[in-house]
Amino acid sequence: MAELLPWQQSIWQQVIARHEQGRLPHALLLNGPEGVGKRQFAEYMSAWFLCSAQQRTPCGQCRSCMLLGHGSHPDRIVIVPEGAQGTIKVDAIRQVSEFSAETAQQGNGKVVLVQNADRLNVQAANALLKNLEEPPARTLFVLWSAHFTRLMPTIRSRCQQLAFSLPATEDSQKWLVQQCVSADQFPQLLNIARGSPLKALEYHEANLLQVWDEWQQQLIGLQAGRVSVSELAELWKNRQTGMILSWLSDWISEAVKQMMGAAHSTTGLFQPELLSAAIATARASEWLAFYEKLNVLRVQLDGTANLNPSLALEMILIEWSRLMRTSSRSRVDGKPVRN
Amino acid sequence: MKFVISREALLKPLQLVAGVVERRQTLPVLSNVLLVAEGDHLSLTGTDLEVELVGRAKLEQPSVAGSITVPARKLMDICKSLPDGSMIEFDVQEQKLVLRSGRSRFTLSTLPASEFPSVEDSPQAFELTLAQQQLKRLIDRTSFAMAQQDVRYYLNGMLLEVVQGRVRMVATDGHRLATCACDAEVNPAEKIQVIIPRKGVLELVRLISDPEAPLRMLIGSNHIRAHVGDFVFTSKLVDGRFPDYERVVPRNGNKTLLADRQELRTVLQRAAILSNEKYRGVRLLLNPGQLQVFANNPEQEEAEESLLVDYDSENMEIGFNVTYLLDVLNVVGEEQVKIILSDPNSSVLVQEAEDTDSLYVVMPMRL
Amino acid sequence: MTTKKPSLPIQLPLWLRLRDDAKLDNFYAKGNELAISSIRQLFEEGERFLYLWGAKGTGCSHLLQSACHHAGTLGKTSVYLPMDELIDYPVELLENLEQLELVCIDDVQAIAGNSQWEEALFHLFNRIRDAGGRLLTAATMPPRQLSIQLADLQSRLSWGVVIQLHELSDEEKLTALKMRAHVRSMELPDEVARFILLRSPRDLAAMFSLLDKLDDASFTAKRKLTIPFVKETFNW
Repeated sequence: MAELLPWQQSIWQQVIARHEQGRLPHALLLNGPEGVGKRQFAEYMSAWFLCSAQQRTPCGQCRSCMLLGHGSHPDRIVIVPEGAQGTIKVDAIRQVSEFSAETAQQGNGKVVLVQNADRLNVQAANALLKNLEEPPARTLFVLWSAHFTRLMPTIRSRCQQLAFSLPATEDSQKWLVQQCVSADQFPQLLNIARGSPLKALEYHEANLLQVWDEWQQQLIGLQAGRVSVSELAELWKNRQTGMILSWLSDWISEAVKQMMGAAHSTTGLFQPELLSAAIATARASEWLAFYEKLNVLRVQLDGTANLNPSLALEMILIEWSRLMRTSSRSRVDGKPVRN
Repeated sequence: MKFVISREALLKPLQLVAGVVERRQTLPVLSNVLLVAEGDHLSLTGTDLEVELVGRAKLEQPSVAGSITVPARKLMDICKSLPDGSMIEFDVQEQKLVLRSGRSRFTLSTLPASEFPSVEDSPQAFELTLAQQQLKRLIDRTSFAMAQQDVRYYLNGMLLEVVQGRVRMVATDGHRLATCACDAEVNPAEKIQVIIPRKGVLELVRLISDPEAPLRMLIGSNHIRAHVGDFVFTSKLVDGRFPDYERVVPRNGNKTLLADRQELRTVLQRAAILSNEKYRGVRLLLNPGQLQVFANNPEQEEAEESLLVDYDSENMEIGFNVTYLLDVLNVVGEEQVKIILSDPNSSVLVQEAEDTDSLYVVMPMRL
Repeated sequence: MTTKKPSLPIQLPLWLRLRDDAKLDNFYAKGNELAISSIRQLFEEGERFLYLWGAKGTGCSHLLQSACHHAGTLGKTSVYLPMDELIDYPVELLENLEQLELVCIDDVQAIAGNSQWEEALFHLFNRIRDAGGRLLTAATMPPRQLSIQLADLQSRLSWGVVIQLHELSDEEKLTALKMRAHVRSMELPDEVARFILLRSPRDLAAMFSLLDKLDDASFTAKRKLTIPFVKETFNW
């Protein structure tokens, strides 16, 4: 049974209000950072759209709601990125066209969900555009993406956008408590998850607080020469590479901010020794350039580019080591500097 | 749920119902058949989401009512392999179906009936009744012209049109068009047009078994449902507008050819042997009183035929995909066939000499 | 310069796309007077080559199909070829078309960059010119902006008059919508028309197809066209 997340109530009220004013379009694009519940919202919306009771929320009782609950509703199709490249290809969208071409089996309309819509390749996007331009009767398209600017403008312009933002900390904490996350863990979890409660829960369930401590220890090891660049790249490659790199990116951002004189914004989050060593290099502009390079690589690793992850990781780690070494004091005794 | 049924009572509906269940299904429940026992009847439902078929069978004694879904193929294979005249007991225990017959016992996995996407009756459907043979004639005379896997989805199906006193079917693949109509006691408030997908048409016609018996059809906004004998067949519709067939039927033909249907058919069949296998082109040369047919292939083999016909306009040469002409000649019934033409680049109209219920439009081929 | 290769047989398509209701009379003329009068004059002393362009939904297809109907009423032969639909056909489809009195080629942008089709269209241009026929082409952009590789074709496309179809303002769309409803004997109150304009895709073609659906729906339900009815029909 699809449910709304507590912080989505107000945005749901907006959708319902639009519907009641007759202003709900046939295509919606949910945009917002990862881990705010766009998929849950899309699922909830399709349950509501297909529900026979036609109320402000899905009834959970009718045949449509039952079929959705069992995952056997014939009038809903979900398109997700596939393959090693994680793209949505034109064949998947052809399915959508075929699905659109016929009437609803249960008779309450049809729903097309497109997850990570930024992963549509050009052909697929064009094929989807045809569907959006000549929408079949009583069919709702819901697309969602954390990087909606990467979508073709023509697709964006055919959809009404709904913006999702991170919930307030109190809301997230309340929800995390309901999900049985112990109170002493969630501040750090939420910090690591950049405020996303869903990710915080995911990290909690995957026991990632431990990984969080490890990656910084590993960098300290690299700094001290206990582990080589290639060894560490190999280690990281087999873990959640994307996640560690996003953490590294946050780490650099924090270091640069402090180099520029900002107050500590995430106290207690990062290993103080390592962070201080970076700050001591006092090369803000070089770190910033590295930060940008890293983010480009992250997008490429994440996206459709054919990038060798080991090589990319080695490049990153070599550059990181080089920048850390530019602090002359830290090289004398081979230990990070303490402020 | 618990009931007893004879192998023979179950087998026919089960085979037909299992026939619409596709082997490779993404949703497990779609490989299953829905069984509903009520009183002394069992209903069986199979679906591939595009079409649904419900069959009915009589039970040996009143049942313990209930509903469940079980794997269609396995159930059918078991029933088929039991000896003639067997009695089969169905008993659902703890989410398993236990089948007992003589000294055999089978336990089948099940899924709850609530997972099964069956189609409910649609409240505002338009109802019409035809004799089974009337519908069969409409479909047999036109279905060959449906497209297959065309990107214009509305061509991968057949138009069913109901106007006052008349029911019509139209099919076209973009190269030829076939339409056939019959009189019926119908009185819709306005013209009804729905497009039945290809699979729906072909499955529906398979159910027709008793030419004289009535066939009740319900046309809703999402489905067409037909009650044929003990079966209820439902098909989704194609969402779209069908091309205006009246616009496609040529009105400017000024040359008429009358020929014996069987003679023309055999002449074309023979010529077709040496036509290009891929394009199937034949050249027709029309002279007053005579039709010549030529075909050749890339191996430089040639066929030449001639036939006495009723034709008194000027000489004309026109090419066709011979399959398109043969498809028409295979389904029309009268002795004489009439072909109306205008020029080698325009469509021609083929019909029976006397009866104008069926019309066929064929575009020529440039050879 | 044509080298005649042994041509393959080609199955001609049925012209399914021609719509009965595409007439010059029911085209909203405001701002597009030049395009309409040029089409009317095709068979008189007017320009024999005409190129229309405008964004999707501005009415190019309507005008091209209207031109075919218009030719029909004058007893002239014509053909309407939507390139987006025919691009998978062999290019020999264009052979002998110069024998017709009017050839209308829609969606030229669909074949831009396809060298075979570009060349075939180029030769058709020349043959029509030599035969004294008329050619009406349409695309979503002006000839110079089409990504056509064959320079000679690009220049041919600009031979005659090039006319941009005027995209209607909201008020004009409203009038067009009501005019269309009137032609179909539908009673479309002002506020309902505004409501449709507000909610539907912005192009006229899409709006008209909504109007068609409404016409069917109101007839079946035997209900007047009101905002609630429109909402219900389209589930807006």
